[in-house]
Amino acid sequence: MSTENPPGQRRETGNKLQAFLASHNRNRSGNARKGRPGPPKIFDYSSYTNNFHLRSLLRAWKRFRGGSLSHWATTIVIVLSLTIHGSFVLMLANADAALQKWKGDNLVTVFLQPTASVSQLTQIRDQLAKNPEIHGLTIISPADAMARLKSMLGSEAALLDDLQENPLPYSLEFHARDNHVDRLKTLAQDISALPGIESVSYDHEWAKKLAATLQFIRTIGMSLIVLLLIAVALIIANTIKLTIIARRDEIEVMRFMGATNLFIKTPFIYEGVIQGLLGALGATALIVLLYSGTTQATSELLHAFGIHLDLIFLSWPQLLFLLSLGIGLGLVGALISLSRFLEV
Amino acid sequence: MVRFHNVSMRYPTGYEALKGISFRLAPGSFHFLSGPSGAGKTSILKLIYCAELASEGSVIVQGRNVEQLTPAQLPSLRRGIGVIFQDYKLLYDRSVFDNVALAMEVAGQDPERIPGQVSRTLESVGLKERMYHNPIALSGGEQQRVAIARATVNRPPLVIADEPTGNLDRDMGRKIMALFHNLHQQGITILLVTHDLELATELGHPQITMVNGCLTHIPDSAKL
Repeated sequence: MSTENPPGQRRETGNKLQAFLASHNRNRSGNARKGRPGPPKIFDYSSYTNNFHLRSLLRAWKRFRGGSLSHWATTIVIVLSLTIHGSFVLMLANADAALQKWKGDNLVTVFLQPTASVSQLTQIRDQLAKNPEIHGLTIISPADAMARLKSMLGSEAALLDDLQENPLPYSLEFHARDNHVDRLKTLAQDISALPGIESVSYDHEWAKKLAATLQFIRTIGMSLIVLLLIAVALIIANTIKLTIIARRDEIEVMRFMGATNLFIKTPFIYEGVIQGLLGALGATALIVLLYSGTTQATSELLHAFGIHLDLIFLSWPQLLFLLSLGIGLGLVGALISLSRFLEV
Repeated sequence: MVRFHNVSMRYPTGYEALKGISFRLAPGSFHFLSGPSGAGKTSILKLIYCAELASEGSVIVQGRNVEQLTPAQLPSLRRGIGVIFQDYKLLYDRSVFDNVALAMEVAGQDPERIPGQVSRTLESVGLKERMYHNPIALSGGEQQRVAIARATVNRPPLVIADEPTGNLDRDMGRKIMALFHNLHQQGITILLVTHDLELATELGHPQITMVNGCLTHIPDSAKL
C-alpha cells in the first residue's frame, strides 16, 4: 500500500510552503527580530567554566542553595552528629591529658626505717644514683618532711607543735624514667629489698585503673558514634535520592543528549560533599561555642575536686579529621544513593 | 546514516513493537515516518538513539552497530543525534538560553563558544529575543522551537523528531516544518514522526508508513 501523494498535489502544496518559507525567512532577518547584544541576563556562570570539577561543584552548590528543606534538615543532622562526636573526642582528649600529667610524674618515694643511720642513707642514695632508670633523686630530711606535712595540714598544723621529737624518717624521692606500671613495680620491689628500707610508695596503680576505665569509655563511645555516623550517611543517601528523583527529567534530557556517567553523577557527588563539609563546619563552630561556654565552669568543678588542669581544645589534626569525616560521610552517602538509584 | 536490518523489538511486558523491519536513511535525506498510534514509530526512534535495544536484527547508526556499543561508547553516539520530542522535554528551572547551552556543555564544547553559538542557533529559530525567558513563559510553538534549537546547536548530522507538531495548531506546525526544511537544506539527515499527513505532504519528502509494528510502505530512497 503506497501513501505517496500524486505529483500534482505535491507541487501545489509545495508552492504554498515555499511562499510560507520565504515569508518566514524574511521575518527572521527583519528588524523586528533583531536581538539585543551582550550576554543573557539569566546567565548560569557555573555552566561555562573550563574546569569540569569546578563547574560541577558550582552547579552542586547552586542546587544545594535552591534545594528543599530536606537538604538543610540533613545538614543539621550532620552538624548535631558531628558535634556529639567532636565533644566526645574533646572530653577524652582532656581526660587523657589529665592522665598523662599524673602518669608523667612517676614520683617514687622511698621511706627509710626510723633506725636507719646517715651512712645507710648515703649508701642507699649512692646506689640509687647509679640506676639509669632513676632521675631527680632528692633526700628529704625529717625536718623537710615535717614542713611539708604542716603545709598540707594548713590551719591544723598547730597540732604537730606538741610533738616532743620529729617521728618522720629520712626519705628519698625520685622520678622513674619509665612509666610502665610493671617496670615501676619491679623497680620498687628491688629497692624494698635493700637494707634499711621501710617502704616504697608510688601512685601508679590507680592511674592504670583510670586508663583502663577511659579505654572502656572510648571503645563503647566510639562504637556508638560509628553507628550514629552510619545513620548519618544513610540520611545523606536518602536526601541525594530525593534530589535524583526531583531531577529525573534533567537526567533523562542529559542522557539522550549524550552526557557521560561522570557528567551526570559528579554534581550529585559534590552535593553530598557540600552537605558533609557544611555539617562539619557547623559542628566545629558549635563545639567551639560549647567549649568556650563551659571551660570556666568545668575548671571550677575540677578545682573543687582538687584537680588542677588546664583544659585543652581539639588539636588541628583532630579538627581536620572532623572536617574529613563530614566530607567522607557526604561522599559515602552520595555514592550509596548513586549506585542504588541512578542508572545512566 | 541509519540502517535497520530485520529488526524486531519486544518490550519486557512481551509486547512486540517491531516485527522484522528493514530500511535505511541515506545521509542528507529527509523522511517522514507515519502510522497510527501503537504502530511502533516511537520504538524506531528509541532504537536509533539507543534508549532501547533491538530484540533481533541489527541497527546501524552512523556506521556503528548499536548492539555492539559498550555503555561508555553510547554518549558519543548520542551526541551525533539531535532528538526532539512532542512534549519538548525542556527544563523549566532555567532560561531558554541555558536549556540550549546544556546540549553544548554535555557535548564538551569549548565554554567560550557556547554563548555565541547558542545565540546564533536561537536566532535561527526566531527566539533570540526570548532567550532570557523561562520556557514556561513561552507558547507551545516557541517551546518546540527551543527544543529544535537544543537538538541542533551542536550541528548533529542526524535529527530525529517524535511528533514535533502534535501539540501545535496548523500555522505553528507549518513554522516548525519550515525549520526542519531549513535544517535539511543545511545537509542534516532528518527522520520526522508525524500524524499530520497534510503537513508532511506539503513538504513533499518521502514517507515511510507503518502499521502494527510492520512497515507498510517504504519509499525507494529508504529501501535497503
